[in-house]
Amino acid sequence: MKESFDMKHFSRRKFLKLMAGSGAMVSAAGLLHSCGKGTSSRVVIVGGGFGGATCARYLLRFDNSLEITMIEPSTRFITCPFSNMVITGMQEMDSISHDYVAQKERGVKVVHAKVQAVDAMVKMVALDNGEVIHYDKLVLSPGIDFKWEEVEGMHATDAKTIPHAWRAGTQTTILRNQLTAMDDGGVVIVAPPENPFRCPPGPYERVSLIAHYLKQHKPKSKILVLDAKDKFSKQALFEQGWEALYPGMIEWVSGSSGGRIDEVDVATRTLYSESGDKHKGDVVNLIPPQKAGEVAITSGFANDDGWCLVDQRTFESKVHKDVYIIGDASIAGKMPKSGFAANSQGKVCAAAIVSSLRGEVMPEPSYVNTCYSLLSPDYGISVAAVYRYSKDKGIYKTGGGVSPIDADEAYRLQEARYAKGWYDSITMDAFG
Amino acid sequence: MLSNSCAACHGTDGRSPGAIPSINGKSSEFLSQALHDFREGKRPATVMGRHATGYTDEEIIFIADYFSRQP
Repeated sequence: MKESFDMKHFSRRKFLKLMAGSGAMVSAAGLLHSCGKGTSSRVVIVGGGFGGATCARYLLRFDNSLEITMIEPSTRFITCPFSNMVITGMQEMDSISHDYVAQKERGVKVVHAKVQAVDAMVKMVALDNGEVIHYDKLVLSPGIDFKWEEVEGMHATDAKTIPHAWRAGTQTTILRNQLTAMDDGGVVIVAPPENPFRCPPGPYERVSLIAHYLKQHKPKSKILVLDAKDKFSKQALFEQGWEALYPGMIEWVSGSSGGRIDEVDVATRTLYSESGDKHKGDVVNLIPPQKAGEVAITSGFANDDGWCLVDQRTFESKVHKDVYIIGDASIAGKMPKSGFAANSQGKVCAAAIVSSLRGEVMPEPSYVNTCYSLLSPDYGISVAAVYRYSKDKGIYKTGGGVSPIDADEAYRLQEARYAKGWYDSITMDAFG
Repeated sequence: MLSNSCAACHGTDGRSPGAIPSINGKSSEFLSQALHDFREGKRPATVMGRHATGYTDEEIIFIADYFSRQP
């Protein structure tokens, strides 16, 4: 308790200093006094990804009198889902980009700025454009950031040379261009991080689709997967598919057998493993270890591991009341860090907020996750789970499972089609 | 609350924009039967056979009723 108490005071001091610096102190005080009771409540949402966008939409569905402000620096959101199709040249960036026109049309005020500080005591956020916004309820859906300090020899700016492509956009293009420029016979290294991280099956879908690209355009090339882990999501299904579609092309090295990376030499694109092995790639895609998005860390909502503890029934922060944290940044029991999970959490959180504002008990939450992975454009696999909450277990699984290992080609083709349908539906649910 | 889970794949209010079947406006008997059959492995399925295992008989009634009422 002491730690979080100190943290609040630290961020409050920082906040006041910022306010004084930006000359916004007066308007901040004015806002404080003008917030009378009986008006529609103000909800501020930080982050316009799957979590934030869904939460905004469903808040309005549950209570259209709410005054909702979404703070998101970008004017369009580029999704990580299907970005592996862009990396491998099978889709264009526009096909995974979504704007906020629909949100604005339904009455969400979208502010394209960055949050500089959160004052959870006075219930306001300060933006980098000098604006201060007061809230009754705050939702943080900031996604992920990277623990660069844990990657020896590499800094954030080196991602221009060794892309992570784990936030879609410019990084996606860099990796795409490097793959295109590589000669036939080259080595592509993909280095997935330790758990927990965004999209557990994502690195292995990427490996699959890169293999698909190489098989068509650069068939003498190889992919080396240097994994920090000893096992990964849907592993048996991925390995079966790799054997069937890309025999001999992909080598996966587990963490304990030399896959774990200790140091990076950016200039030569060389990775040194913990066991002393040296691996030089023509294209290197190192996905660094992760933590909650910046605003959650700097505002003091994360724990020592870099993730945010929340009440898993409502997603209200354990650090401060009336602040809710959803999506990748939160610790959500058995749910993975995925866009789909963030969408589900956005709805549960919206229900929790509206219930709280009305002074009612929220309905029993139900959560869901569905993640498709493409091993080729015609070969899909999936994992699905339904979750409930209990006080003892937090968010726990009540049903679900992965695609069967003995499925035929028609089944894999059908799942590949559903993967596309999944994308169309969830992006419509969140951004449409 | 329960039906919000379905919306991510089947579309908001069950109206799908893409390859996944829409479920809005189907009769509650049909939806309920389909979910039971998925859950018991009697209806050919990909992911729905797995999702359906997460819901009780009572929850299936609520879900089926909700989507049957969506235009």
